Amino acid sequence: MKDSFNPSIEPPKKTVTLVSSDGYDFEVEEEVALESQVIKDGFEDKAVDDREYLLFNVHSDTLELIIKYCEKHVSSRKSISAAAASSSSSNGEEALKEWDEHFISVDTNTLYDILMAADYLNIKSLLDLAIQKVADTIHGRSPEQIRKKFNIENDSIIDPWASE
Amino acid sequence: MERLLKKKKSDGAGVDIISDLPEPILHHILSFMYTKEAIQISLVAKRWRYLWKSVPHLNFHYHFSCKETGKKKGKQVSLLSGKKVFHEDENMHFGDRVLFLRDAFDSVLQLRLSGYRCVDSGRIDTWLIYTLKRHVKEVYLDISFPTLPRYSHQRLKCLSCIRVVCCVSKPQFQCVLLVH
Repeated sequence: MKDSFNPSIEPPKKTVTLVSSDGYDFEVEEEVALESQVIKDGFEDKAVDDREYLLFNVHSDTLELIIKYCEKHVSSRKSISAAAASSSSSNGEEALKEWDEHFISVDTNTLYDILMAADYLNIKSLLDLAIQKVADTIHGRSPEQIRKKFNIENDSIIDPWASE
Repeated sequence: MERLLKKKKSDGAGVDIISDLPEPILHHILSFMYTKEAIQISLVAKRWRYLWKSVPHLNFHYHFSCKETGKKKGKQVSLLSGKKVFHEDENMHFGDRVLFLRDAFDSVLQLRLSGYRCVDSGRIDTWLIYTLKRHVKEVYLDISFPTLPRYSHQRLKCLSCIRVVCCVSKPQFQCVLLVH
C-alpha cells in the first residue's frame, strides 16, 4: 500500500499516520494524506512529530480503499504533469478515468462507505465520483426499480405536484 | 467528529442505506440528474419527497420530457401519465411549475437548459430572471431560437460575475460566450 510511486526521489518522504475507527494504523505519505481537505486544513497547525489523525468515522476496510484512491491520484497527477513537461504524448487522463471507473464499481454498501468517508474527509474528486455512481444507478429507473435496487421501503404514494 | 457511523458492514443486504445519507449528499446526488428525474424520485419514499424543492441545480432538458411522455413507451413512469398526447408546451409549463413549487428562498447555483428548440423564448427570459434573483453562479444554455429576447441577451452580456456558457445554434443569432 505504500511507496507505490516514485521511490527514487530524495529525501525520504514524510509520512502521516491515519488511524481507522477500528484502531488500525495506516502510514501514508504526506502528500497522499493531503488529498483530504480536512487533513490539509489542520495540517500546518500540527507539530511534525504529531502527525497522527484519528478518523473516527472511517473503518479500516474503507480507509484502505481511500488511501488506494489517493495514492493513485497523486501518482497519476505526477506522471501527467511529467508527460506534459517533456511534451511527450500521454493518455494519463484517460487511463485515470478508466481506473476510477473500475475503482468505484463496488457493491452498494461499499459505495455508501466510500461516499461517507469522502464526505467526512472532504476529498472532492472522490465524493463526486461516488455520487456520480449513485446517480448513474438511479438514472433511467422507475421509482419501483429504485426502491428495489436500494431496498427502500415504500412508505408513501404521493402526487409530487401537490403542495404540502 | 463525534458523529459515529453506525456499523452496517457485511450483511447489508436488504437494508436501505441510501436513505440514511445526509441531506446535502442526497441533494448532491440529485444535482447530477435532470430536474425531471429528481422530481420523479420523490415518488420513491417519504424521505425523498421534497428533496427536489431545494436542489440548487436546475437542469431542464426539452427532449427528455417530450420523449418520455409523448411516446408513452413501455412502463416508463410518467408524472403526467394521464395524458396521452404530450403537447410541446408542456415542456415550458414544466419549467414554470418547477420554479413555482420549489422552495422560494433556496438559492440556485446552476441553471442548465438544453435541447430547447423554437419555443417560447419569453419564458426562458423569466426563468433567467428567477435564477438571477437567487444568485445563480453558472448558466448553461444550449438552445436554438430564432431570437433570444432582447432582455435575456442584455442580461447575459452583463453577467460578468457568473459563468455563462451560451450556445445558440441559429446562425443569425450571435453566440455569446462569457466565462467569468
